[in-house]
Amino acid sequence: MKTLLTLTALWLGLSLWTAQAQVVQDPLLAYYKMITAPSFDRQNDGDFQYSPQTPVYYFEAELDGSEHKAVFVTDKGNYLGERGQYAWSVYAPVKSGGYHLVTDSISYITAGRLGPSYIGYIDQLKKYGVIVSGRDAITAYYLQDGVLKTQSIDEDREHLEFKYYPKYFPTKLPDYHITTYTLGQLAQKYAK
Amino acid sequence: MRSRARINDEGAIVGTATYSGTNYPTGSHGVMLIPFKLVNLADPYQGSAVIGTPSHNDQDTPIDLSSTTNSTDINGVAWIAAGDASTSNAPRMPKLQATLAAPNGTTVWWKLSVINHGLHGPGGNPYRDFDTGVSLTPAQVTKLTNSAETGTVGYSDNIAVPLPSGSYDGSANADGWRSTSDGWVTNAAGTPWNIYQDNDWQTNAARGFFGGDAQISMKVTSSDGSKVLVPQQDFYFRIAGENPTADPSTGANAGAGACQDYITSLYGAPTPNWTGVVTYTPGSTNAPTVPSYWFAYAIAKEETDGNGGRTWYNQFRDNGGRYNTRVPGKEGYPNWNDDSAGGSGGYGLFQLTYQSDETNFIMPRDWLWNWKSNVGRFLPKIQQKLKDAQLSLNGTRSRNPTTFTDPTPLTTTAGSTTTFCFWESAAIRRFNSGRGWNFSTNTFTWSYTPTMPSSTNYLYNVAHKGIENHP
Repeated sequence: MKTLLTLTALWLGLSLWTAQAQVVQDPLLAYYKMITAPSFDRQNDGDFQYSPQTPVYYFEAELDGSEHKAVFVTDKGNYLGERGQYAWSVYAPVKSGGYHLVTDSISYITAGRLGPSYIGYIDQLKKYGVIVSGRDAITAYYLQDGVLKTQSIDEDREHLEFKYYPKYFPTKLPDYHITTYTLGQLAQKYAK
Repeated sequence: MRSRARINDEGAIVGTATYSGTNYPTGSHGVMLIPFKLVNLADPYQGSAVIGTPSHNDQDTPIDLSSTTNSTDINGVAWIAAGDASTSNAPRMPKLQATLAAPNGTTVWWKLSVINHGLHGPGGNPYRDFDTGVSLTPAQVTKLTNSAETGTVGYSDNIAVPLPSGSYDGSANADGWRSTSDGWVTNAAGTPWNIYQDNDWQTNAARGFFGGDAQISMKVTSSDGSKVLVPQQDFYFRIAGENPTADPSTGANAGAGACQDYITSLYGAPTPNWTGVVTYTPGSTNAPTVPSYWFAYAIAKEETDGNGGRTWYNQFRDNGGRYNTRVPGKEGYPNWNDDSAGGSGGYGLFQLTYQSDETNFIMPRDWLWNWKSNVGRFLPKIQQKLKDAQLSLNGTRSRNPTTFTDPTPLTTTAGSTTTFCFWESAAIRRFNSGRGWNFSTNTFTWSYTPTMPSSTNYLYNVAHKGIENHP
């Protein structure tokens, strides 16, 4: 039993080490490598095919209220198909420098091509984070110990009504200064 | 101001009045008050009640034109008739007829415009299609602003009758009216303008139903048009849509009604029926063969649950509001749910989007204003979702050639008692967003993730509200 526990602890340690090792210096490069890998499981998995013209959307924002901005990135291959939503990947900054990916193929930020309606201080949680809306709920995403957590707010209402949350759902979306690349441009950029 | 008023042989109210305007000398003048009315002619059907009005088209309905701006008066609405589930009783545009009892020997000039200001933005304006804050491609602008609409499908939500270009110059309508080159319809006094028979009205309606804020304008001239007797006057009303038959919210027949009847007549009875009968060819690029899309009605219920103050099946917002709060002046507007800030939302019974990766709508207007058209669009969309699920499965298989396991025997339970097979759950989930089923490259097993990252459990909602009838 002791041997087993030791091995388990060692395995956990290796896993954590692996997670720590996934720090990247250039999130855009990491994202580019991820979506162009043959093993990549994209969300837009129907008739869509990647091409040099496929757009990639990129912006930076203060996800945790610190000056170290997180990187939000998505592309047409991660278009969710309805209501104009994309699965946004998020690379959060780490204290030692660089970034690590805090989203995956199941847990991601859903938002339109222009980004989420709100990134900033969330009064209900007393935390900084991202607001994501569905038909019936408002969900907050926030970082805790380097892990992306979620929590629903507005649980008292049966249906989501934007009008009760003008702070999170302004009539005009924030301008995140999104940069649009194409896969062809990124291929050139990272070929050097 | 008026004295000794009476009705003359032409039906006009005549009298005298002291005039203080600028076009004529100040002082006492003879005047005629010419009766003018706009009527939605009788077109009996079974429709839903909208705010205290039990039926709108079973008798000639005068349209209240007393508003000086776009009407917030429910009596100032010309209703698009819902029809019922039968193919013979299709939705119909209002049968509008304008009448002005001008004296003989005069010419009456008419024109009509209808603009859909939608539900977007503060006060519904600017409507998104023409929002100056968004960038439209030249092709999109052409589709939305070209009043002639060269295609067979109508996109423009800015309708003019007659067309400003006077496309029907010289070609008399059935009732003898003709369109003129400067955007007016003219004829001798005394004959009603049957707007619903106007060539431009019929052409626009054939390309797609339309509605919104309407303005009807008229003026009266001498018979040769050389002298203006009554300067242009504008009157305002709305064209809005009625939902198909209202549903009982409780009881054994909850959910039954014209809408559900029509959907199930197209897509199958509301009975689960895919389990064990889906014909699936691994690796095929075609969608599996399925008996029917039996769950279509449940999707429509979930998609429009509570909108406009009605339990479900809401192509339009009965009360003008998103849920129970009435918004005067928006009753009967197409039901739009902007439930994804930054996305495009969706319209009507199936909350359709078109070029939905943009923040604009470029959508055939018939999907907005004709509920059966919206229902018809469900089929190609769900077929594509099923094909997407098949292609996704192919991709997972090819990426994991040695560890892949076939998920199609799997099922998932949602709601209280409803069990969906793999293909049903995949198609329904994809109709909303995302895919639900994921293959773990660690455990080599499949699992269904019920909630979206946005916390929405769409499959549960379809089962709970749609199939199991929980409002």
